[in-house]
Amino acid sequence: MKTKINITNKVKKIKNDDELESALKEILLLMTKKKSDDEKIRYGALIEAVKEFETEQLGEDKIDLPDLIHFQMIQKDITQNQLAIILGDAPLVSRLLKGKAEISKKVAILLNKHLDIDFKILFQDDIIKETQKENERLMKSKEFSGRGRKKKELVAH
Amino acid sequence: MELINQTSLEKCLKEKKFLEHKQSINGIIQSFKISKLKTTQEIIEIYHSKWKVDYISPECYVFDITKKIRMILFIDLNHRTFFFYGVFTHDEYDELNLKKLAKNFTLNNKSHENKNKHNEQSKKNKK
Repeated sequence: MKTKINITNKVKKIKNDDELESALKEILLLMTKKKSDDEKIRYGALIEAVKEFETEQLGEDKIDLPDLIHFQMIQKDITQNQLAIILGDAPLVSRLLKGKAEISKKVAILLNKHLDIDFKILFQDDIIKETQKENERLMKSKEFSGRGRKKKELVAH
Repeated sequence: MELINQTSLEKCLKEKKFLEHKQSINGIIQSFKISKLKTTQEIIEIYHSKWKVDYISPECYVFDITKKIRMILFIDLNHRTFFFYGVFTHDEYDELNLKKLAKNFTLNNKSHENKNKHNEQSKKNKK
């Protein structure tokens, strides 16, 4: 049962699970074949459409830090006890693996050194929060024009 | 790399039969998200140290999470994306008939798995 790909159809925004399933099937077909130029464009567009739909449904696809720490521990043959010794805090390891720990600078440096996890990932929640705050500040700043007075107010005067 | 089919992954991680292995399954997925892997060889080398990894085609990889369950990922190294196909028990995996599935996805390369089976068959014939 080989499915033909209709490359003449434009990729539309995905609205429901049926459309998602159909897009996923087509992505798989395209992923595993040599693509023409048109198919390459369609493939990229389908991926974007699926990502957009999944982000709307499930939120931003962040890195799951506890599972990544667990993975790196396995890869580097580091046991939970050994990590507790490295971090100097046994309960912290348990909290880290449950995703319930706040990561301090010291812990981040140690995790980066021993488990090879990038600082951007270790501080991803802080980075997201700060980015949101900055965006809000920028949005607000557009409405203001110095000395705490709104642009609209200035116009009214 | 970017993950495609996050929906299916979320559903799978909530399934009771895979709950015990959630961290291993998701750990591999998370590691792919941050990986800078560029070749099949690198994938095999990195993951094969802890999990048995087989590739059915240059895009299709099978990870033995335990002796009883397997995860299938389709990886497009050029486009920096990977597709979560699913996690299956061995019985489910056998029913999938991945080779047939791979053929449907127009995979013409002789697979690693096929090569292994071919070698085993040759040995048997010699005996």
